[in-house]
Amino acid sequence: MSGRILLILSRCSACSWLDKGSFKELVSQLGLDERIGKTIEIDEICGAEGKKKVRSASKGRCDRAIIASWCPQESLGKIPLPKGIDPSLVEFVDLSLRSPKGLKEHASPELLARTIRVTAARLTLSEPVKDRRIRYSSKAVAVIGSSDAAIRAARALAQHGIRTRLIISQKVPKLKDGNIEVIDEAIVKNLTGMPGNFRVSCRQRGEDLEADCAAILLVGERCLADVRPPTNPRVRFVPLERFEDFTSSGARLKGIAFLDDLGSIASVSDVSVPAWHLLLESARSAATAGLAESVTVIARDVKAAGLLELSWKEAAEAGVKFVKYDDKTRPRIDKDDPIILVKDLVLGETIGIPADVIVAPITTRPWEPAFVERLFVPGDWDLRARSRGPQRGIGQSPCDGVFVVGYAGYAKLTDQSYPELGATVSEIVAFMKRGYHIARGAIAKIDEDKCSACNTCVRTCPYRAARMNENWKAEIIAEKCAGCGNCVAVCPSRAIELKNCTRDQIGSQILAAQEAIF
Amino acid sequence: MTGKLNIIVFVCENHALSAIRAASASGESLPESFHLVKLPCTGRLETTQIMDALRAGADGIAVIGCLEENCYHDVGSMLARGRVERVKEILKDIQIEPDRVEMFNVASVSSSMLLLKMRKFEQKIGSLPATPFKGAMK
Repeated sequence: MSGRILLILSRCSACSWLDKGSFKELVSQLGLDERIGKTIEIDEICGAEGKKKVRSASKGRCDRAIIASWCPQESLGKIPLPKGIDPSLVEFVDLSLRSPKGLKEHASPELLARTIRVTAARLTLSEPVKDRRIRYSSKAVAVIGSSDAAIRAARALAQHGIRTRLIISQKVPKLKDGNIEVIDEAIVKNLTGMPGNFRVSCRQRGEDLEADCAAILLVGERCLADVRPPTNPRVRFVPLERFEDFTSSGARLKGIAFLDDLGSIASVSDVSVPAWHLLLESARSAATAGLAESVTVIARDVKAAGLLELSWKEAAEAGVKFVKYDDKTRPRIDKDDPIILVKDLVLGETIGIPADVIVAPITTRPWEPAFVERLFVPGDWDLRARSRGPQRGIGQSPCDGVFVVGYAGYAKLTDQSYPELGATVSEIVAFMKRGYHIARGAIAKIDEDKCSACNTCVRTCPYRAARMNENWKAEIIAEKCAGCGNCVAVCPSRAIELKNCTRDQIGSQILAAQEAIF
Repeated sequence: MTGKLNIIVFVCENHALSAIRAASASGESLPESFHLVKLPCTGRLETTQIMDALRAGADGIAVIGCLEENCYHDVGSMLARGRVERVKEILKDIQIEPDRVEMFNVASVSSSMLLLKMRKFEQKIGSLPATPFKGAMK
């Protein structure tokens, strides 16, 4: 689809520096572009009179518009458009980016014309899109968690007059606040729905319950798991979360071993889960600082940790060694020497790794895998819901309406969790006051014929908007896609196109920026 | 080389574009040889598109994205960095200066730093010999 463009050009003398001659040149240059159907020149587009002129202008045979001015879009206010022009097919070109006021040498009219033409090249191929507003079906917030932190969160929300459903695994005495509905001794079984319209299914004392809610707050539980010290007294144990304090002590060591799971040597399964970012970063800094003669990471599979290949590479370049083991042959500590014995899967034999110090994360159990998968939030490799996803504030997750606090997000200490809770409550209040969720129109689209079900987009999407459908083809959840286009570029079979930022559009922009001046 | 330079800048709409806006608000702008191509996120940029731009005759390519740890879309600039490195390898193989392609990460407030880097980049491109693709796509 391609259409002709109505160019609305502001020649407001207060902002523009162009004299009459150069302005004429600019207009004549743009007139040579076949994409631009008609040009309207307006004085003072930010004023009421200028806006009136724009509205009453005839659009000719154009169906889309570019508004080019020397003011940023925000200061122009809402500009009424001539009849028949779709508001989603209007682009603003801020010419002051190329040629701001106060600059000694101003940009030539050719350059300004080229800037407008690059935008025109994209806009001619654009399709009209419409953002949808989805109203919340319920006015309640579900707080899922355990311990006093969850109760505290529910109380704080209720104080703001928000109806709160507290789904908690312990027994809770009756709370006085009328806004709180307590579902205690309950285990969450399932979660369905979309931002603003969630449904939580849980099981309370043998009975199945369902609760509708607009937002979900996950509150992390206990802070420290039962840490079992290593059996060899010559080996020291340092929690990963406290490793930074340890590095400042400056002791020169023989070896530091980073473990992915303290449970692997404490013979308790599932005690700890690695915070991979922290682990790889700590290992790298330990190797760079030369804290020990050898720095080793002993893990089941480091490279499986999603998008961390680059951190892994950086750590390896800094001199960190990686040893891989599997569930059957877990590492153990030697009785006499400060050595960890581990069966290297690559070498196929048991090797001894010098370790005066073992560093391992002390986190609690992760959420149930089935639960996180339905949470619409990217879980990290360790199946922990991710807090603080793209562009979001404290406590927010990549999914609008799902909030994550404390340990539910990632390994952190209690003194960090409580301030976070306060900030998150205010985020939830803002979310509930808004009353609707915006589903964007400009999103990625998948061509099912081309999709080879490689799962790459599902792994990459920072918003977890891509998933596999029943036919084993990828699909994009329209309510969640933010239109960033990361899936488009990673797709090996080129099955995905981002609406209004297609390959053709980028290609034509490149050519428009290159073209010799007419 | 002589004549006007032509540098294509792939810029993300988020922090990088804000940095350029902030620069223009303070009365400075990108050098004239830079031509902006806006993207929703630098993660949208493919290796082929960088190569296309070079083949179309650009003297240099700059990719400006958010800071890696603070990327608006979380993973975009990290993925873009990998792709820019890949393009550099390809360029080395076909004996074109890999310096022609560069990735810059900026915070939305560090506009003067960005301008400084851009001017340096322009100087570097200017010191290179003319690109073999110049005028090939007419």
